[in-house]
Amino acid sequence: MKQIKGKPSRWQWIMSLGLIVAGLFLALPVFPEEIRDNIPHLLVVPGFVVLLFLWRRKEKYDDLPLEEQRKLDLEDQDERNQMIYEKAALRCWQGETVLMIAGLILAIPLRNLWQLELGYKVFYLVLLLYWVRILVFEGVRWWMNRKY
Amino acid sequence: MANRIAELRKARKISQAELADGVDVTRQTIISLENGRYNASLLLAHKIARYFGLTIEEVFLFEEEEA
Repeated sequence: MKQIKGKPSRWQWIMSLGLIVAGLFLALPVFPEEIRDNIPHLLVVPGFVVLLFLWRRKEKYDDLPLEEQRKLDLEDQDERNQMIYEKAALRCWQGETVLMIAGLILAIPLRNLWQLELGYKVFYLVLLLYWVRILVFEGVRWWMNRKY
Repeated sequence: MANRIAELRKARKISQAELADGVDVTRQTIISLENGRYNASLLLAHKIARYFGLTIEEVFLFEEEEA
């Protein structure tokens, strides 16, 4: 989620609502009990917390004088800040990829040592979602390559 | 990429904050430009040059080694 100093962006609202919706979705009876009992609250609660935080930030932003609002908007739009954000996101993503590969390599032989079978299943699900994310990233990159 | 932003700004007695406001960036960006830690985009370079009433080549110094 991009750090925005000014008015919360549309994407921030969508992501926080998405967390809540995803949590409620995973609470449906179609999913295994292990998932229904452990994951939904991990998504719904942070989703509501983020939503409240965004609402509070919007209220504070609206209360500021126009000049202060303009300064905050400028910080969000500043090209150097955007460049730093994008580079930082890329570096973190590269680090995550390395950690995920290392985690997968370690998880397979250490599986029998895990006390909870659920922990392994959740990790596998997270890993699967991460690879989906990589595919989405490559898809977006392909699309942007065509667009620009 | 080297530039003459600090030199031009001081000659005109303009503060970094005023220049930043004039070209719609943060003061930190102006500082980074003057220190050579950040290269402006073409759009920002054009805005800065126009602010000083000069061409881009008169503000930003392209050095052959960078190619």
